[in-house]
Amino acid sequence: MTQTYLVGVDGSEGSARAARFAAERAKTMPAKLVVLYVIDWSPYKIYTAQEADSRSADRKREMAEVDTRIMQPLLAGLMQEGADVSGEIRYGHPSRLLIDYAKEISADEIYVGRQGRSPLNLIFGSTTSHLVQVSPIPVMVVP
Amino acid sequence: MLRMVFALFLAFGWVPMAHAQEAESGIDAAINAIIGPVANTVAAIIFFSVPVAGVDLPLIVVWLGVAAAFFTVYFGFINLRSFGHAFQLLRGTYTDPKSAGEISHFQALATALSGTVGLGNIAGVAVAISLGGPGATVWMIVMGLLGMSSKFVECTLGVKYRIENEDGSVSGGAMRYLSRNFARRGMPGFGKFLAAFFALMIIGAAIGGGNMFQVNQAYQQVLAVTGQDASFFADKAWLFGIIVAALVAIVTIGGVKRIASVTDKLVPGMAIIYLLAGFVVLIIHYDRIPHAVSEIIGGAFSPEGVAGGFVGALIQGIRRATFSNEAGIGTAAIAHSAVKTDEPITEGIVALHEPFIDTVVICTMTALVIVVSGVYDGAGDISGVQLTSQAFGSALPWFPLVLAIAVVLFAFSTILAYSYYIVLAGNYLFGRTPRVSLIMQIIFIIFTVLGATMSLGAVVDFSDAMLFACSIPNIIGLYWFASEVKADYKSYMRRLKAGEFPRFK
Repeated sequence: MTQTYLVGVDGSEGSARAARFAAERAKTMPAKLVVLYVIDWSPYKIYTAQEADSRSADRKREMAEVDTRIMQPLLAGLMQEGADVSGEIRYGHPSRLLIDYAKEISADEIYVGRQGRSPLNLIFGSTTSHLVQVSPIPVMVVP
Repeated sequence: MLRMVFALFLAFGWVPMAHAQEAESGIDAAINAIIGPVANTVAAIIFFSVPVAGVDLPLIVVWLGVAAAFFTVYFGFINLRSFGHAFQLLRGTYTDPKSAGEISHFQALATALSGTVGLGNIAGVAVAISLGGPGATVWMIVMGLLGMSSKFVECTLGVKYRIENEDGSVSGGAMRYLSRNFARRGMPGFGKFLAAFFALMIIGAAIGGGNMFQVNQAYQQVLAVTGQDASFFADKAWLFGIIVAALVAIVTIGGVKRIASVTDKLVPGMAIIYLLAGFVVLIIHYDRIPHAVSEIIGGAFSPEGVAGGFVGALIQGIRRATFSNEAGIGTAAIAHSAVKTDEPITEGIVALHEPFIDTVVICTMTALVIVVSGVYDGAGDISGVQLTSQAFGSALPWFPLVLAIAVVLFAFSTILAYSYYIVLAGNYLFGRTPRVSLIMQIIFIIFTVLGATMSLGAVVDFSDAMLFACSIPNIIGLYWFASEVKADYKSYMRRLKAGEFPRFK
């Protein structure tokens, strides 16, 4: 059975590096590569009545924006290098969703960048450190 | 359209007048003298009363009470039976994680609550107790529990008959289910009439209870903690009104949504602080609790010194409970209808929690604190938020300041929610155009200024009148559609028991 590698990306240079690294590894295995972009979101976030009414439309717009701005260019680049790759955009808590999604697609390994986009996590991304601590499958942290 | 222009003319007419009299000290009094009689006339029409046992019983109170009781019995005490299932829905047990990013049940409830939890829970309860005695508390709780059933019906319908606009946003609420469901039943004219009537009344309700009452009581509390007569704001109610109006305008007209988001985030925290402070007051006065409970229960059936006796306490309880939780009014259906679900019944069930949290929990806490602290006895000249503030202050001298912050936040979040409702009503009546929205927003903020300056009595009567008037078309619709909702409810429960809905948690 072919293996499946999951890459968590957030639009940062570090996560793009992780994706390229995973693609290289996947090619040699060979393994299937799935790229997941998580839009940080909590089901307990509070909206005003007006925001709530347009939430569904806003969600579509946000996903389309992530798709055209980040996901499609990244996938195109990886495909050019010959990777068997697909992409997915979801809403949720980044590290928890990465693990849940890994289970959903029966991924064998998770690849992430060491540093996320958030300027607060200068040394080690909080998503990454949480992921390393709780993931039931191997996590490859790409510097 | 003509009506709107007229309203705008009226509203703007006062502004130059206000400026002209700025030099005089009696600017607040002048505004009062002009609007007071108008408010009283409106209140007199809506509160048409019949004498019962020597007291005037307003028919609108009977209308609200009977509807809530009817729906409770008709749906087999759904308010109690489905209460637990609502927790499952709120936790997301049946929510597909793939739909994350859409409005969850929890978010729809939180949005609706930030619109309903307001000064009604703090000041309104004080009004109920000063007019109806401690016994009004019992009737308030009873009405809160029964009102859960009315809320279930209207929020289910709100989701079921919401429409999607061209820009992908949704619009729900009583306007939509009245017009669409009656049209479906071959009575489009009747549905349109009721919906238009509702939209007109909600404009009044937004101006009154959702705006003037909130700013009025927020001003009173800010005045109290800044030194009453010595305060900078003494005799400058209009200035306070202008400040609040300016903030509202920045959000609604200026489009600075961030202020609204921050306010709505702070409201749940303030509600918890308010409840915790209430508990502390009860603990401090624990020796007076038995006496307070006997006052409340005894006062419900044979109150002493309350105008109208038993019926008087009952009327106050129902009025203040309904004003606070808006069950049967049809407003909350707007906020609830944004939820992402294929089963409208689920949001109706979640909405059961709204009157429960609002009235049975928060209002009851206010009532207990007021009764336990004993400040309502011989309160005489103080009423509304000042009474609640004194009650808390008797045990926690620093609390009135915290209360002032809470009150301003509660008021502001409710004002913002209604500033949206008034635009929706305007859009329904006059078209979904930016100009209509702008005119509605301008009318709204003018009344924010006026609300601060008016006396509490006039504001309460006008606010109640307009808000309760919404219940006339809304409850007609609820009765008409009750059998449909019941069939949907039965179908949903059958499929739920059969395990047709996948569980994700």
